[in-house]
Amino acid sequence: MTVTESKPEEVVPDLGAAPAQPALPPEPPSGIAGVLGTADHKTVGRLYVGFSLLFLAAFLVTSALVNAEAMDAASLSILDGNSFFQVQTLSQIGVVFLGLMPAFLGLALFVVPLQVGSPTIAFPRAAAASFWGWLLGAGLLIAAYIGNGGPIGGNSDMVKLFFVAFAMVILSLGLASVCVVTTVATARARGMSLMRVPLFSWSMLVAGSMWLLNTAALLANLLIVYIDTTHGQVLYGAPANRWIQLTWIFAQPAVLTFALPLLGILGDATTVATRIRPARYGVSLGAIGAAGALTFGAYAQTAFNPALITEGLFVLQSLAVILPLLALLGGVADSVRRGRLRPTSAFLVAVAGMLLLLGAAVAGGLYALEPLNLGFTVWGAGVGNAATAAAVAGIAAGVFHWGSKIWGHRVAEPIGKLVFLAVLAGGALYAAGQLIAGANGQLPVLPDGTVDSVAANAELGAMLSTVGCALLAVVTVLVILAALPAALRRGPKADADPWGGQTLEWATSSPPPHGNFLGPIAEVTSPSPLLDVREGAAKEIV
Amino acid sequence: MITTGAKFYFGLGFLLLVAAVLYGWTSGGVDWGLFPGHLGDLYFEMLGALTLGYKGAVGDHLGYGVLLGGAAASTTIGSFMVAFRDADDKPLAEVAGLPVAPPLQPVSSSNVWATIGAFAVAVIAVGVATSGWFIIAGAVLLTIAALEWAMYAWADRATGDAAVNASLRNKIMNPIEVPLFGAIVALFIALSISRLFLTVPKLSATWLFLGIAALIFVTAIALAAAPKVPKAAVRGLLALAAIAVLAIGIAGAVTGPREFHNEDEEFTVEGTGGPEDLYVYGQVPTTTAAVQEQSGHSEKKGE
Repeated sequence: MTVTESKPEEVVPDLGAAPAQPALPPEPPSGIAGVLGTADHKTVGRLYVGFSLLFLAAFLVTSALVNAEAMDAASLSILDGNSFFQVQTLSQIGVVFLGLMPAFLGLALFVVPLQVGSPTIAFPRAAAASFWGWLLGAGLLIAAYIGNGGPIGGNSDMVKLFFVAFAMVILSLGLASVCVVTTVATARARGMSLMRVPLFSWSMLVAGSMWLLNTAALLANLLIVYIDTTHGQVLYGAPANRWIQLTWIFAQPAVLTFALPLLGILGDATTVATRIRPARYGVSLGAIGAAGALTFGAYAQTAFNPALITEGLFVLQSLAVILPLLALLGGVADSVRRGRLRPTSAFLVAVAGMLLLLGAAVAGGLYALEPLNLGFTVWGAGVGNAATAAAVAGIAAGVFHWGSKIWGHRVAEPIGKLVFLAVLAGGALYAAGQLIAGANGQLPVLPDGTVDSVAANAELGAMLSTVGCALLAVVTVLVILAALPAALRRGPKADADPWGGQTLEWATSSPPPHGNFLGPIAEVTSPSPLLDVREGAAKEIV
Repeated sequence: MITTGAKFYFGLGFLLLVAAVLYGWTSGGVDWGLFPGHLGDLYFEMLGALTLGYKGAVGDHLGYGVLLGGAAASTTIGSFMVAFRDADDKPLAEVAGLPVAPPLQPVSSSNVWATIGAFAVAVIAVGVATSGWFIIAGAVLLTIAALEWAMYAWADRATGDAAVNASLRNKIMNPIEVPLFGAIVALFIALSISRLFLTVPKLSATWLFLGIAALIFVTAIALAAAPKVPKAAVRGLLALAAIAVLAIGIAGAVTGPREFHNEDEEFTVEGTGGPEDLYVYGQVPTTTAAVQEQSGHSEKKGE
């Protein structure tokens, strides 16, 4: 069957020095139909960032509420016994899977193709499908909780919906991770080997890979629990056993993976802030890779092997992850020492996040040391809280670093200084509260909101955690407020390169045109292609 | 040569493999006392961890299996990275037989099928928790979305010209889509409007039918008389009409049909009386002979 009157002409690459890149492609449709049918990674990235920030703020508030309940250990004062556990589990899922992960993925979907010099993301329509799947899954997840679902809800249909919706959220985020990882792996500009890839893109390759490995196991857990829940509720699906099989993803070492992109954001923000060429680039790449590898936590399922936290592997892993983080922090300190520091908001907030992440790793190392008797106390929750705070800082730093590029208008930089103070104080308090209570032997709150016994300073610790969590919610709101005018196209327009950046995303306009770059990209010869141009070591990059 | 990407994935795979062996060895409650009596246990459990449990024992099976799975996945990805040499431009150009690797093309066309696909998955999710009908509806929608998506994916890369790509896709898909879409729209209108006609009284239904037909006729004349009317206005009008038809259908379905079983439509024939002589709407015989045959009166009277 003939489907064309004449054979369409193939695009034949120019055989000259520069790779052929056709004239700027036609702009995709705008409006609601354009958004619903978009395959533009920038639009999808913006949607992810916007919605996830709203979810993050909301679920940090509910987390603060849950922490506040522990301030009076004798009784529940805000929530009742039935809703406490539901709100607690929803908060944990909400912060991580509706807030942190999608926010980082949104940043990555926008920034990574620009950083690697690609005109598009790999699998652009899959990226769009991942967003809508995630958003619809999130809506169903919340609806399941509202309908008395959740892991131990009273409505069996809504309990089933909870598991299916949670799986949908995880699958959607996995799909987005695949798009990002594939872009870094296969869509780089000429000459940009993986040894020259920007640190944020590399950190997303590492984080995306680890997320895929960890969440694949979580999906298997969900499937097992779902099957037994719907067929007998004998063991895995028995109400009391359901949630505990899923909690490993919120505990060390897996919880540290959610903060991994922070390492790349810190690296990129440091080069901008210190205005020097990054030294020992391979060490930075290796340290981020090692930090990622050491956060694989799908095996650490204490529901099946409670003695695991005393096993040699767990102890070794918990201690070893501190080393790459120290190496990275040392690299930042070295850059600050060698360069001319310009303390941008992104840099300050990322440093605060790095300190929190290091704190989480050190606290995790102590948790694994058996003589300290911290196992199964709320010290473990303190580790998770510090990692969560680090991830919040990472997202804030990312918005301040790339916000002007994302929305084309300047993000309110002075608010960033306030965010730095709030995230440092909030993160420290959020973690310290649980660490203090855990050090005194406080065990976690039971599903009905009661505790077996109240340790010394446990209520003080709960109060500190509540204040810290509330401060993190404020941080998220501040980030939204800082970005909102830019997102609404208000305020001064942003320059293409407001920072004197060194990586390719700063070589195009803010926001970038459809196709990202106005022409072919010259061969990349170092991790800092724009600095090469400024120093005369290379010609114009675009 | 082991490329940078492969180094990461091979390193991760090796780390997880070592971790699996260590964990499988130590998580079985092995006694670390260095006395001759315990060396057998040490050896037995180490052998199990090294042979995937074929010889000897493994401690925590779940953790051991997950770590091995992670190692296998990482090593596989690392192998791909080596095979494709990190997808660096030079090897890609060599494989393509070109001086430089062809650049990626951004997608310009708008395609809602990815979004509809996500919606279909959500419908299936609701169906898994509630009713099998949702699963069927979602699966049908997902199949259609997957086919359309695949078609777009092919067309987007068919040539370097977005307009040619769109034309190619339309030439293949329009002969399928247009009749199918038309049938769906006709079904949708028929279902919705019929709900309305079944709901309102008989006489009103007639007048409504005339009114709707007249409205469509007048609108069509108006549009024909003003060929320069903006496309957006026509689209808006159609959207409003679609919403109105949907609302009518829902309202009609919720209200339910009018009562058809009433006095006027009952029919009785002369007889002995009682329920056997009552004929209801839908079962009314149309001829006298048929009436007599059905009621048995002809025989009765003849007797």
